This record gives sequence, structure tokens and C-alpha cells, in this order.
Amino acid sequence: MTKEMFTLKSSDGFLFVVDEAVVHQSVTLSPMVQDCAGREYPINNVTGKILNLVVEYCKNHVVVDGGDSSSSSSSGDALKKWDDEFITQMDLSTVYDLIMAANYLIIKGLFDLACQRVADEIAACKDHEEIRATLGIVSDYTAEEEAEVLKENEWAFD
Amino acid sequence: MSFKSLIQEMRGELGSISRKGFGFGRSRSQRVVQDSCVVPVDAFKQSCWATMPPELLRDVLVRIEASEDTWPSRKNVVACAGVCRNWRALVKEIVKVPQLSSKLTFPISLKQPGPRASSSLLQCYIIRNRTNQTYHLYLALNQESDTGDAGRAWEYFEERIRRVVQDSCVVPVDAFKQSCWATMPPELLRDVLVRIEASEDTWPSRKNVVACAGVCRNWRALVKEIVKVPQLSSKLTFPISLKQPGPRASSSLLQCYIIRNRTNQTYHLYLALNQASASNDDGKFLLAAKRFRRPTCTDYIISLSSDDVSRGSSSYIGKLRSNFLGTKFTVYDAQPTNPGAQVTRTRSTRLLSLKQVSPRVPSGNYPVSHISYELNVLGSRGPRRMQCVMDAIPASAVEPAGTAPTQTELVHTNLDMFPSFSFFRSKSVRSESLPQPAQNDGLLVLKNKAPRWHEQLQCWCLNFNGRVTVASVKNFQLVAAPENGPAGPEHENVILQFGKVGKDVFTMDFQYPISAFQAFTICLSSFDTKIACE
Repeated sequence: MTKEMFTLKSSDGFLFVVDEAVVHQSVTLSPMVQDCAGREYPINNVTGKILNLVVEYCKNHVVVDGGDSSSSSSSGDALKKWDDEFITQMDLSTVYDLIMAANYLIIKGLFDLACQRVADEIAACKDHEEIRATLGIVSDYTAEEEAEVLKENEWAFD
Repeated sequence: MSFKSLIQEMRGELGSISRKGFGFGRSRSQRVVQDSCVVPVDAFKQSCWATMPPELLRDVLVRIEASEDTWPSRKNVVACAGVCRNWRALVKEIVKVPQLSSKLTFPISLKQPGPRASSSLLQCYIIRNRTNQTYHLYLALNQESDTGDAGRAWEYFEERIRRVVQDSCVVPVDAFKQSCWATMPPELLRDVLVRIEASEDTWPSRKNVVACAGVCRNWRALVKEIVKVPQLSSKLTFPISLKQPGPRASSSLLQCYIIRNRTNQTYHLYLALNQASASNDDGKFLLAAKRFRRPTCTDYIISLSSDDVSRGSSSYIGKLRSNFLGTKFTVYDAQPTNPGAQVTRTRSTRLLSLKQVSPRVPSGNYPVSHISYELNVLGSRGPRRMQCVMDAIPASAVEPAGTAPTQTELVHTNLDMFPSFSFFRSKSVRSESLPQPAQNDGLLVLKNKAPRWHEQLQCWCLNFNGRVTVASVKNFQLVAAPENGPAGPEHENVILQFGKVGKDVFTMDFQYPISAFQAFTICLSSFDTKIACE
């Protein structure tokens, strides 16, 4: 049985040829299965670099999701391990782009994975200053409000 | 005598006029004190430089501005602006903005547009330090400045850039892209923060939720939406949680414990993190109280800080005051309970209080409950009777459909501001009788559950469900007294129980509708009251 192949085009012109199973993982892209076989489908707000990662994730998840249920627990572990490695080697600005892309394409597993990576990163920061430094956020509090925040955090860390 | 040295002398002589520029309170005599390196001059003649007619002083200062036109000597112009107010006003008139003069003189020049003439770009250079991730901006003084690094360093640039630069332990990332986290669409940021709130659900890791609320305003607003009040979540998260009613489900008293320190008369309240918390003292610190005996009363000052417990502290939350005999107590809150701020589901009421980190409210002492102790009808042979009138909680709060007022933000206690209205102001009390509401109409009244006399053990017994292990007159359980008419099932619920488990260790368990702060103060009164029983 020949698989139907689809071509996804990133915002900066890169083409990715993927099969139906990959496309189905995105709720946004699923409907195009009926319409777009053989044609390029543009994804206007995801760059090639990020789309590449999305496709890689989806390809990896197809292999297991379609797999034999008797081996599902060990392959489930292997998949989790792959997911962990996949998301941990990325820098935070790539994770941000991945969250945006997974949100737009509605790929729940990838969205959860990326959000959790950020959440873990934030939880590992020792205080609000470190959260700001890690994510490059500049405080918009007045000096007075900043003092209040500091007091609140002193109590929390007491 | 060169102009420069004349100015030096004048500056030296006037040096003491205002070292800080415009400090208050310097006495006139101090102003004419000499520098040790300047030749003493007639004191009267000195002050004339400060009051020189402006048009003449201007002539002097103009010469300086013209001669000291490049750095490093331009600092002399800045120095003149720092001498006194007259001089400053004149120098600021004389010195033209960079747009016209092509010169940078004051720090403010860095915030003003550059030179406007068509062929005059202001030449500067930047030195990058990779080791400590800093960047320094300099004004080029000549063609080779950037290689010779003889430019003028402006500390201000370094400060601003440092704010967005990484810690040395974090891999440097594109600075522009980083700030996307601050402007991330709220529904997506919420997904991230919700995970943190769920995973960091007990102390000490719950501090991470508090840290997220401190990052910036967007984050704070989202975190405050996500974190539910203790009444619903059974969790204490922010300091304000201590002023909000405890958990409402019928079998969920929030378990805490109090450690008494007799040497310095302090009491520390902790949230129990597990069954053995009280004995291991491994709980989360909540509040501290310190006892101050006065001639006609005793005060317990309550603070958010475990070591700074004083009325003037910025961590001051409220106090408990007892009368001389120790039979009547009043609990004061440093901020008013707004009876209108009920916990509702509407978005508008929630967001209203999120606009500021801490709204300004006049600091004061707002009575929130009155506690009284009396002897039993059996006199000192029976357990004493306790009554707490909760001024800020309606009696209907304990009914199934009732609600209790909930504070939403801790106010910034500005001790310089006085309340402009005397409605809630408590008078500084010098007599025994403390202000009391005339009637308890509609207010919640808590009474202690009467212990049963155990004939075989020959003692009064209350069932504390294992939470109290040492018999003591201080132990009590409080329930809501029916307003009028018969008691309903809601009047059987123990709302607060307190009792001894060790030499200086006591457990305190409470639930809706009272807050941790109110519970703590009621327990403290039990330490102080002189009504005892045999």
C-alpha cells in the first residue's frame, strides 16, 4: 500500500515531505489530508528550523503510536527517553518557538513537552531575579513594588 | 593666578556648602568650614560667592564652560553644577544640549538626541568583556580612542545592559528573542505557569510559585489567577493567604504548630508539612509574634518576618492587645478588611486588585475581633469560657450558602500616612476597657466547645483527634455559636483547635471562615489569659 505523501512549506521556503501519519498528529493539519495530497501546504508562521524539529517529533511518535501493543511499555519508556533528550538539548528561545508552533499546529504532546521544559527551567531558578535573568525579562515594577515583591519572597524563602 | 586655579580655590572654599548637592539641615556655620588643603579665608567674604549677582557669576561660569570643552576636563563643568542651586541653574542654562553643542556633559546628555549638523556624528566605541558578560560604552576623544581606550566611561550603560545579561552559569542566548517570554500570549504562558503551580504544591518548593509572581506584572496577574485561595485549595501560597479564610471542606482543618520561646517572649507559627512536623520542627514558617508588657496592657506584635517583629517593621501585620487583667483581648489588623471584597467568580472583581502589587492604604489598627475569657459557672473548678466576636465575619458565613470577606492584597504599610477617617481608628488605650461593639448583631461568635467530665479519669475531656497530647488549661476547641434559634449542623464543626504537645510546642488547626492570622492571635490570647482553672 503506497503511503500518501504531503509537502509542508515553512515560512522561509523550506520543504518537508511527510506521510499521512505525521500530518494526522496535528489537529490543524489533519483536514488537509483530504485536500492537499501532492500540493505544497504553506505553514506561514513556522520557520524551517522549527518545522524541522516538529516533523522530527511527529515522525518519532508515529513509530510508537502505530506499534504493537505487547511491546508498548518498553517502547513507551524508550519514547519518553527520546522526548527528554529531544527537548533538553534545545536552548530556551528554540523552546519558545516550538511552543508557538505546537500551539498553532495543535500537537498536544509536543506542546506539553515544551511547556514542561520551561516550567522545569523556571522551577530550577532559585528566585524571581534568576527567573528574569534566565528568560531575559526586565522588571516593570516601580521601586516600591519591587520592595514589596522582595518582602513577599523573603517570607516565602524563610 | 590662572582661571583654573581661581575656580579651584572657590570650589574648595565652597566645598562644604553642600557636599550632597542639596542636603537639608546643614547649619550655616558648618557651611563655611574650610578644607584642610585650602588657605583659610575670611568667613564673611566666603559666602559672597554663593550670593554673587547671577549676571556676574554667569560670566565666570561661561569661561569655564568654554575652556573645559572636552573630557576629561569637562568634569569641571559638572562640578560647578554641583556646587549649589544658583550655580546649578546657571550652568544648566549655559551648557547647550548635545543636539546644538555636539558635546556630552551630564548623564542626562545620554538621554538627549545627538548632534544635528549634517556631518557631525558623535563618535563612540564599545568594549565587550566576554568573561563577565559586560559591555562598556565610551565617548571617543580622538581618532585613536577606541584602540587606546582613553574615552570617558559611562557607568549608566553598564547597569542597564547588566539587567538583560545572563548569569555566568547560563548559556548566553540571543537577547532579543529572550524577551519574548515577557510578552508571550497569556493563554500560552498560563499553560506553563499552571504546570508550576501544580507541581510545586507543597512547601518548600511552593516558593517557586511565589517567585513566578515576582517576575513582572503579566506573570503576577496570571499567577494570582491560577493560585486559588486557601478556602478552595487548602494551600497557603502568598503572605496574603494568611489573612484569607482557611479550607472550607468539612473534614479539612489546616494543620499548623506554634513554638514558644520563653527567653525572648516570642511565638513562631509554622505550617505542618507532615504528621511529625510539630516534633521535628520542619514546617514552613508563617508568622512570628512577640510579647510586650506595658503598664496597663500587654501587646503581641505579629509580623511576617521571623526575626524582625516590631510595630515599625515593614513586615508588621497586626497585633493582639490584652487588658490589664488578661480577660479581654482585641485583635487589630494593620489593614482594613473590606467587607465588599468577597470571593466571587467575576473577572472584574478579581482583576481590580491585581493592578498594583500593593495598593497604598493608610496604616492603622483596625479591630477585627474581640476575645473574652470568663470563669465557668462552676467557678475555677470548671473549664473557663471563651468567646470570640469576629467583627469582620458575618454569622451567616458558616451557613452552607454563606461567604466570608477575603483580603486580596497585602497593603504597603506606610507609617507616615495617617488615616484620614476615624471610623476604624482605635484609640491608644490607657484604661482597662477596650472598644467593643455594643451588640454582636450579625457577627460571627465563636465559643469554646464544652469538655465532658470523664468520671473515671476524673478530668475534663475534649476529643482533639490525636492532635493534642498534653493536658493543659490552654487547650481549646472553638465552634460557631448559633446567632439565635437552635444550633444547626454547621455549629458542630470545630473551626479552631489549639493544644499542647510538648514543653513549648502547640498544635493549631483551623478552617474556614477564620484565617491563619486570626487563628494565631486567638491562640496567643490563650497563653496570656489569667483565667485558670484547677
